[in-house]
Amino acid sequence: MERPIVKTKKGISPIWILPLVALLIGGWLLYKDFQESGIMITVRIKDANGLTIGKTQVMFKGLPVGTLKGFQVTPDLQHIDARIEMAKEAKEKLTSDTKFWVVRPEVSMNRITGLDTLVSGSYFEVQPGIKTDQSHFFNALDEPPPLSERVPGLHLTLQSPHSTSLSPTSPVLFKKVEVGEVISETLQKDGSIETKIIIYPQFMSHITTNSRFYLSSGIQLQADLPKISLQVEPIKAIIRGGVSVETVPGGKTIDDKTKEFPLFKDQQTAQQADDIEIQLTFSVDHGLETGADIRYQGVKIGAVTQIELEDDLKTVRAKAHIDKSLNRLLNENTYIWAVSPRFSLAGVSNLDTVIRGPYLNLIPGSGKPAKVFQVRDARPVNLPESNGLNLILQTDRLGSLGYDKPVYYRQVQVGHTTGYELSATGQNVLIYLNIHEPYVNLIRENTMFWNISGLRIKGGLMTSMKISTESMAAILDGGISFSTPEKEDMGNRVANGHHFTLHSDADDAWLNWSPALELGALPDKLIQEQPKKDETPTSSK
Amino acid sequence: MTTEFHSRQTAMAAGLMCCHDCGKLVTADKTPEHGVLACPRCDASIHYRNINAVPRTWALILTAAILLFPANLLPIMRVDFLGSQEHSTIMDGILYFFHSGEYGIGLIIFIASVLVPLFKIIGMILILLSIRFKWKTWLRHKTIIFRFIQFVGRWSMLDIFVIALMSALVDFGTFTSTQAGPAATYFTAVVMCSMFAAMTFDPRLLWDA
Repeated sequence: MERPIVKTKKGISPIWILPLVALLIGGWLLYKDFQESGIMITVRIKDANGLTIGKTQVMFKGLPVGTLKGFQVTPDLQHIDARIEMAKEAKEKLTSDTKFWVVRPEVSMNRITGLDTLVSGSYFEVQPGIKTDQSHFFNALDEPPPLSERVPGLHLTLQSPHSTSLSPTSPVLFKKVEVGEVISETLQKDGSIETKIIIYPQFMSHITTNSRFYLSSGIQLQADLPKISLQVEPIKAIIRGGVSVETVPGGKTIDDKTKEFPLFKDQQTAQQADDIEIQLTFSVDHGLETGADIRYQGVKIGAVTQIELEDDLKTVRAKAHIDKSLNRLLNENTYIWAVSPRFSLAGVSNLDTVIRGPYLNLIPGSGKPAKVFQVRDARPVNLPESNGLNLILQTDRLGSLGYDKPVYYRQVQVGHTTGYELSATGQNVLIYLNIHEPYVNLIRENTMFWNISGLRIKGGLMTSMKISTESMAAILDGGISFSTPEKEDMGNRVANGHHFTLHSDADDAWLNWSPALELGALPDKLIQEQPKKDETPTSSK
Repeated sequence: MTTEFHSRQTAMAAGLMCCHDCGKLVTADKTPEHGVLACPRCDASIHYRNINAVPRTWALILTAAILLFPANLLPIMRVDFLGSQEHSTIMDGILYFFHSGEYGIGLIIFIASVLVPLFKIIGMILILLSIRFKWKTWLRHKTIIFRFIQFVGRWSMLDIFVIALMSALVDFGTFTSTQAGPAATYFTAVVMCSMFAAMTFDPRLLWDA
């Protein structure tokens, strides 16, 4: 019987591709595992609460970059060495200043952090360093490190001698908008507090060299007649404290990365930071209190900030702030006096001080710039005006004249009295007056001045009776009138500070004088001749 | 394929073969030179023994054995819970159930996912070795093992079913979601390879040896 030919199969069955593929896969997986096998590092931690071997991860910006592989208690039983396998990619970043810390949930009045760890368990957070030398051993931080200096934004350092009650992540507010946050707060060796803050990049333009930082913790009630102001900071700032910043226009942009600023304790001090601080001394109690205004021409230009008793227990010394733009007002001869309410037969004066409290009035003087001033009890004898013509009248008695009484020319007011004073020898009274600008030409060397206060009745029962009247206002209020002779009798024009005699009565002839005189300003020549006497007010005491 | 005649009378020795599809018994005196034999009733190809059974089974079972390693070492399931990811291998899952006191479930997963695939592979290798070296003992037991391997094959996808079910049911966006890990693919491949190995193998070869 014929047998079939037996053909031996050549080659191998294609089924063997399967194990080959499996081997390739296995080999590739092994290779990948080898490639991806991380670097073992050791991180020394205080305790291992909430950390699980194989589960706890090392996170960087929310991405896992490593896994906890094991624990080992240090021989001195003080710490725990955690062995961590870091991703291979992290190798170059494991420099000696790399920081590790454990993130755990924290709930306090200030903040709630690490909330995600409640479900996911605690984890390590890593912040790569900037150095180049590599290390495989790290000490974990107890607290998350402050935002690195490399975080984009403006990094500033604030110095404060006061307690600040700030904490990291406290907001930095600009017009109550959060523009940055507090990074850290450290107590310096000298007892001051250094606060580091960061301004977010989009708000950097709001911070200039003119920016002033102050604490804005909580609620401020300022009951200050006639104004009561209540300032409430955003709730976040109330709870966590905060820093507010105000920027006065005109500052330069900050280029230096670590610019230092003072941190003021409140808005008021911050605003006064640039003000000029002056020293005031009192000898009498004026009822002044801290915060009392300092005014010039009725405008507030500063405030008293501090009042304290001198060592001799007699004088009172005060500190005050004056707006910095007004330093021209502060000279040696600047005159400051306290204004307080005054009730007298003549009337009630300074009624506003009853409500607002006493304030200080300031009149600038000449001389070198000064910072220390004596506070006078009363206004200066004479308050010379800068415009017009300042004259001095001599008379034997003051009568009902005083400050700010009108000076008439043909019953038109052309000037006013600016002050009065007993002459040095006490023989007569000096009355200072100011002739307003367009009328200065009316005053000539031979001009006659007389007192027009009140009603004058002349004559007797048998003779004719004569009543001389001025305007009704002049009769009630008192005042001075003058007349200038005609033609060549009038004499030359006078300079500032010229002395005249104030007559008690007018001569009939004077009333008939009517010279033709042009109105106009005082020539420069005559202003320059202004005597020093007028510029230097002295006490009327 | 062996053509040696055994002292024991077999169907093959008697020139009889059975159609695998319709079960018709066919007499074939000799193997034709060209072409294959076909069932006269259902036209399926018929042969004395599964073609190339031994090398094919070897190849498949070795594939399964190799893939068993990534299937057990790589994570099979990934659970995202509030942003934190948790990878777990098959063994992690079993240990989790044991640690949490669910011994029953742990045991079922252990048997279905670890013990059975391992048993299948070792059993098949044992059978193949016994053919290779013509061991003539314990033939009946080896057949029982094979039958068990064949039977249990369809149940060994339990793990994959669980993962498929979990990833479909546990999907709450960022809150929590479940996803299959890379080991799931390898595990499926292991199960499939071992099932195919059991299919291609012809237990009659045990007696042919």
